[in-house]
Amino acid sequence: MNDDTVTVMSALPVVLLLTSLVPALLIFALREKQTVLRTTLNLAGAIAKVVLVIVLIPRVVAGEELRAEFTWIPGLDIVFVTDTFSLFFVALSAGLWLATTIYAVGYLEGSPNRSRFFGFFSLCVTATVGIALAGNLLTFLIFFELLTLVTYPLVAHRGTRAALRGARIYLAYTLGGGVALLLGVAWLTLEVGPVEFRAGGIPEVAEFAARDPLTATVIGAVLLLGVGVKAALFPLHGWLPIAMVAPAPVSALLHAVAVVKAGAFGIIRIVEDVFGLALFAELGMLQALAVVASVTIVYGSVRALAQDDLKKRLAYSTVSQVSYIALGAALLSPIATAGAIVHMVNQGFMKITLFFCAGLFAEELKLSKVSQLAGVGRRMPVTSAAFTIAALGMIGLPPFAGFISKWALGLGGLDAGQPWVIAVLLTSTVLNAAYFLPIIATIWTSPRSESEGSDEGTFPAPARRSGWEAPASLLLPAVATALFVILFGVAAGWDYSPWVLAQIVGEGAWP
Amino acid sequence: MAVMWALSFVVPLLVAATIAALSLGAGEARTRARELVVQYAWLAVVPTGIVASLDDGALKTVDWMLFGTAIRLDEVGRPLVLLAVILYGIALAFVPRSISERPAGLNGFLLLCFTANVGVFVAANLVTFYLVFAAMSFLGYAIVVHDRTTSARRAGAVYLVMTVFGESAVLGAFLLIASEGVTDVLDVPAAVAASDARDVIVALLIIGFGVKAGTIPLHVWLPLAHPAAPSPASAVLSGVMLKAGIIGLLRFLPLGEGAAEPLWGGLLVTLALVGGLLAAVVGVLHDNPKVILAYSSIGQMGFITALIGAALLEPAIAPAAIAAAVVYSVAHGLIKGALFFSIQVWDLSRAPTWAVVVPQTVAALGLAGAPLTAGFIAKYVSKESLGDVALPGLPVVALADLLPWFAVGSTVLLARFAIAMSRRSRRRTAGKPISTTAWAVLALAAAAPVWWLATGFAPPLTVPGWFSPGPVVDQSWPFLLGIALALAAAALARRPRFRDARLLHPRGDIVPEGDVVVLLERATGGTMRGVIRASGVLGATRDALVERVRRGPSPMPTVSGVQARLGTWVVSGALAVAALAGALLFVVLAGGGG
Repeated sequence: MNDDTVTVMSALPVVLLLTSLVPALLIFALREKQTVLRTTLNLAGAIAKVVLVIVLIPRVVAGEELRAEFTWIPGLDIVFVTDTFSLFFVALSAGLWLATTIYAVGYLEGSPNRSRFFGFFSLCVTATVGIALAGNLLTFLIFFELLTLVTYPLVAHRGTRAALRGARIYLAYTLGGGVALLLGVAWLTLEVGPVEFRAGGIPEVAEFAARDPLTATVIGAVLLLGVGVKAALFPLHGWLPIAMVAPAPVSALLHAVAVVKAGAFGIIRIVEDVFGLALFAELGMLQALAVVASVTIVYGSVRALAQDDLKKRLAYSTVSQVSYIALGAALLSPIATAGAIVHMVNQGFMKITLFFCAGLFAEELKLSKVSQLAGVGRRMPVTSAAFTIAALGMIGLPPFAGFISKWALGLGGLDAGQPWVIAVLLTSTVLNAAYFLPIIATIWTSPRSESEGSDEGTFPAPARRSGWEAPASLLLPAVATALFVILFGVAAGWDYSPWVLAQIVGEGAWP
Repeated sequence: MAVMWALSFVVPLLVAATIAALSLGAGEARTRARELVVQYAWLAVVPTGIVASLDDGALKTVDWMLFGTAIRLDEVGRPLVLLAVILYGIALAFVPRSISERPAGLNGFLLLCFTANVGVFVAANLVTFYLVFAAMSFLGYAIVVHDRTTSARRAGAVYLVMTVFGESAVLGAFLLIASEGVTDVLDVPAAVAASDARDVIVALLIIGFGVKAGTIPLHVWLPLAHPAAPSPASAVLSGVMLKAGIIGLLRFLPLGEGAAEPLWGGLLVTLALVGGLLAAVVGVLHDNPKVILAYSSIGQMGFITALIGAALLEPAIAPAAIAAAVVYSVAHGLIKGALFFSIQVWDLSRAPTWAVVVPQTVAALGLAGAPLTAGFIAKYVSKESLGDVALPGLPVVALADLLPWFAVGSTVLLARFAIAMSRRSRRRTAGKPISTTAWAVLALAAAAPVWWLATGFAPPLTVPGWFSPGPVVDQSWPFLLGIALALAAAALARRPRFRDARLLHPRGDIVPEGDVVVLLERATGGTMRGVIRASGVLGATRDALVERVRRGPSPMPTVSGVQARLGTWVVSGALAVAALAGALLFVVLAGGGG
């Protein structure tokens, strides 16, 4: 924590939670047909949250910290804090939630059970914001488990066999992780008492680790295991490719906004704000995490290469890309820390764009396989362009967002005296290119006739009066997030860019 | 000046964006507007031409962009930027009249490539350079595959694979350099020379930029990409884009810094010499003029690489060798560009045949290094810049004495090019007099700017007098020898005995274009299949393991048994009472302290 941080008691953190909790509860009460009211509530909540965050960013950057706390049971406090890192995550999820809400409204137009869907949808974001604002492990745990429970109905939304199976496996994995997290939190609280997150590590935890390094290591491992499931670390990633049966907006939520990100956020919180990087390195955990992350990076990419189903390929890509965050958190270097933090945003915007586009291809042309995409660039040029931008960003090419993360992680690896990180990054670059570039080439350069299972030479023309290639509510969010992928790369040096903010957040972990 | 630079980057991008926007949706007005923009797209290079002529050489930075973007126009970059302006300008003017479909798309991508390509020549720090280098490389894919034919897409695939490997190597090298705490390109050579990872960095740089510069064996994409791309695009591809690899080597290799590099210098020079030989031998076996020119480019780029390798061998000659490499790059760019353009002029222009053949011949003579041409000056200054540097294992032969043999190869290739061109029929359908004139001026007058540029670099360069007998004699023998070889081959080919000799009547089927590319394709295909199979095995193994864990002893029966017993209200009531009692006890015991 910086010395010049001023802590102010405020209701604002709670208001941040309420901006999605209140719409969620109201939407549950709505009848299915009250579409306009439901959409208004959704958008009002999403916009309110974004506005609040934008107002808060300069204050928090200036060193102000808002705090709200309640005593649940004596000794067990619920604490919400807007430190730089929590606000960073709230900003990410608020921004992407707004885009996803618009997309989901268009995507689910006319389909059944929308009140249920949007209710849980808002709850999901509430849980994510709770995770972000949590000031201690208990609060973190509560919202982490809540997130598991409220995403289950979303994954199972379609109610088909595959959807139910995917949701069941999702629940099995994440509840298992939840149990590990509960165990870890309870054990640590038993040893050091209720303690709050603290940038650079909690002093009590450091004392305890000096006293009993073995137990501290085991607790650290159990905690990482708990959050590692959501972060899809190998070998705990199994749920992610199966859960892609969910509708596209839910995939976006799982992969970019909430679930996977909560896991990655949890890893950074535990490494940096519970144990502290130095202590974690001393216990040998940092090296272990770096190895697991590197294995996951390569494993995810290799698996992605063999998938013909577009969403499945994207899912394995997420497995790989999210571990960039874990890898950055596991390197003893300030620039790697900042790289990990900024990749939360960059991966979020790139992957959400890709899932939006995959959803657009599926909705508009009923195409879900890579081998079917031949010639789509002609029929849906805007969607294809957005897809191309995000995919090139994933490979890590400048000037797109992904390059910023990759450059920072590479420099961080060298700075931390771990030059093998460069080899991992370059391998991942080549593999990412190997599974994304063929898609791009197919979309733009292959004639339609090469597509699997197509008889006709052209696609049906868009059947809407505007002449647009797809419904605006689906197309515009994809375009917007793609533009941010460019912007976050090109304008990385701007005062409030994710990269600059990530450096500020990362500095905290380096007292 | 900063505003001018901003304009020179923004204007081409804006024009490209306008073309893209006008391509969305139909409508006659839209189509007409787009045609107009495409036709005058060449004007978008004018701001760059102006600013590159007037610039003061100071550093210009844009701090909010990426990790801080910076450009600087130095004496290496300025001539190359002007080269880019000329070639891209003519290419953009040629496209609307070419046989290519979708000229709008081609011009749009050419404009994007132009911006990135100019950026490569002026980038002043590592990240800026990587940005524009990567952008140019990947945008290049779009112009290679523009025609969407099977061969274009194959060329594109090979191009992409090579580009990805090149980019990765460059990125690795740049990360290692950046971790030395260097950002400005001017500080890089010294930092590399002093780095512990010096050999790794140099190796990565040679691989990364060697792909772009067509250094063998990384040249395989070149003979596929040049014929696949539309002619105007081939002209900039060969004339300007390949030079991005050269400037990469010039800017980042430790030239003139630290000790000599016998290993890397020797390697570069050897590869260059083999490349020159290969280019001539394989090139003459083809009958597609663009393939022949592509092989010629491999040989010519080898010539420049040899200069850079020599500078690694002998740091003292670095300033002269760098200057010579720049002069040679400009000379090659102007002439090779003119030759690629000449294919379209020959095919489509209404100009009389002599008006096409004369400039074409002058350009060809220039490439061969005949006296009074651009190539004459470039070859002479290069040879002189080398002093008495020799290959490490071969001290008797000075490198300067090997260089003229490149010209022999060039001459033979160009003779082959002339034969291939003479067999093409002329359609004479289109061609604006203005762009055709611009092309003719480029082909006829290339010597003037090259001479002027070389003079600007003297010293360290030694510029030959136009008619001084020494240089003229020195430079004439390779050219004459090449002509003699070509004539001998032609004489043999005319003999009835050899009417069916494939070697003397090559159709390009003895060694396919891209020569060893087949090996690369097999290797890449094999690796991809291997990885995909490994991926499948990984997945199956994982699923099997998960299944075994699932099938293993499960706690569920025991749990449900216990649950069933607990379910009776007597037992659960008893448990509840016990739990309450325990809690009370705890409170009583612990309460004493609280």
